[in-house]
Amino acid sequence: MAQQLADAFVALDRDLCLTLVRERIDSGIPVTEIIDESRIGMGRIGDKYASGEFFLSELVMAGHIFGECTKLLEPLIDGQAQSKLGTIVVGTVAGDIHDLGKNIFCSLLRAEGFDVVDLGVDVAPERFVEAVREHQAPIVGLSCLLTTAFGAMRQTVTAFEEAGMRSDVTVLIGGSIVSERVRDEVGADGFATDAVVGVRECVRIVEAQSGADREESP
Amino acid sequence: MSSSGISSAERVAAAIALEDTGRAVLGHSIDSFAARYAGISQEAWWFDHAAADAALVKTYEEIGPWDTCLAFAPGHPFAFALTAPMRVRLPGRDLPPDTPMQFDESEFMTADDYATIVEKGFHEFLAGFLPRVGIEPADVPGARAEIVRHAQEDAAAWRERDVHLLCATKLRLPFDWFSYARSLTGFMIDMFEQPERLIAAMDATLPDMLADTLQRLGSSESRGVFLPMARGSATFVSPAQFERFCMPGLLRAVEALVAEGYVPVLHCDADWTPRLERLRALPPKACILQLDEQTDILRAKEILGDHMCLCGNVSPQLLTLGEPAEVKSHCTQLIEKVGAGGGFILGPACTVPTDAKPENVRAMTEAVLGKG
Repeated sequence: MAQQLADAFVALDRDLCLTLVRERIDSGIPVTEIIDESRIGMGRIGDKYASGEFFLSELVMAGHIFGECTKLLEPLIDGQAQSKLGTIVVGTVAGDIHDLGKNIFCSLLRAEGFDVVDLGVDVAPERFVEAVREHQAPIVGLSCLLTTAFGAMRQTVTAFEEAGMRSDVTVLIGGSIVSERVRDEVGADGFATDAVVGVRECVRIVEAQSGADREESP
Repeated sequence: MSSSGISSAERVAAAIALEDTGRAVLGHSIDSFAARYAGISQEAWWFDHAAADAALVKTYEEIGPWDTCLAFAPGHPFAFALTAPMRVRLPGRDLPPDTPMQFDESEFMTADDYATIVEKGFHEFLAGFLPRVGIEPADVPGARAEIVRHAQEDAAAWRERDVHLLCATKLRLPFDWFSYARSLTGFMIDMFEQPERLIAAMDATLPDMLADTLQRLGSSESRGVFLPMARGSATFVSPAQFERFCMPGLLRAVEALVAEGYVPVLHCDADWTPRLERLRALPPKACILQLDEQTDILRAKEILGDHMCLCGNVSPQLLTLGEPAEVKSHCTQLIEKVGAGGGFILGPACTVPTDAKPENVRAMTEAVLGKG
């Protein structure tokens, strides 16, 4: 039974997913377990995307189904299911209003178990800094589609330096036109041209940080 | 560029026919960059045709020449918006004056509209749709007339410079049109949840779109039709979805245009590498396949080199962040490898970015002319 919901996700069977979630709720299964099971399915979908078996349309559909299931579960959460992976601040940088890739990235981050603070589009550097400070986010994701936004990415990284926060936050840039070269040019720490790679990079970063924290603990 | 005794239009025609072009061919899409280079605002580019045309001429004279240009200066602020089912945000009107044009891709169309299109036809639906993206249908005929007037004047002036207009008009096929109008997410969910309704609406739309396109082409000298096609790529949809939702309309449209003597310019943004074999189903020596840097253009040469003319694909990162020697070397390699045996037009991936380095754009020219 434990695999049934995950399998329904992989089959992209929305009706079956919702039916199984309702059954689990009625059976008194903790919300955290239901979400975990859904995430196993989402993880397998991510694997299929990474291997080339699935495409963006399947990721989007899976994110849609996950969102529908979450709507059933949210009223019942009541402190049960806390984010396990931390908070990430995301936005499209100043001068750029494109949000397609950013929105898919945010949807997959939530499915993975992150809390996401989505600042929207055309976000000024200081707003990124304020949000990271307010939410104590270890990662900030800067999105863009235009080459003219590279300057805004650089200014955002500079704003973190000027706020004395650069060493506290990992800056990832995303979008179809970013590359290693753009990462170096704007002074970011990492880049991703697709949402799954970006999410996996975020998981890797928080896991590495929590490992480092454990090592530093007395 | 007629010093070799062959005009640019003839050179482009030879490239399409996969014949010898004498030397490499340069085809640009250089709009917002020309504005920045010539020192006018992006607002002026869209709202002041004379200033925009002068900017393009200055750019051409100082860092050209090139053989062909995807489009000349916009003939009206609606020039992009009329075929883009999105809310276009123009500099000076919706954005700061020197910001490049952008668009807001929200859900301007609902899934219920599919039934409206099937029942009442695309034209009736469109009349109700345009106000949702900020265009009053009553303004369209005047805008169209102004676009045609400027296009005719520009074509004559640029012919004197021996620059060929690559595309006379644009046809955004129903697959791409709906994917923007519904928003990408809504459209993708529709492919899973209501495929029959979606296909019925696309089938009902295509004949009207084709008829409109052919009517616009009526008086044009250029035979090129620009088909923006990103959403059918492997970046977005599965092979099965491409076959079911995208390929049938593409095939019908291309065959209809070619039968009328027009040249479909398939502007394929994103990764089309896994689709290249399928494009062999399109009529041979009749289309231009314009690729950005996400498609492996060398693979395209292997698969389609004997079938259709390739165009591209100098990346925006290289033009913005690279150095001239690097750009020239890259272009020279493209000319040697993709241009081997003919059937190649060197150009930017998608378009020259607004903030490309002028010396890098000039390096493209030098690679074609063998200078520098």
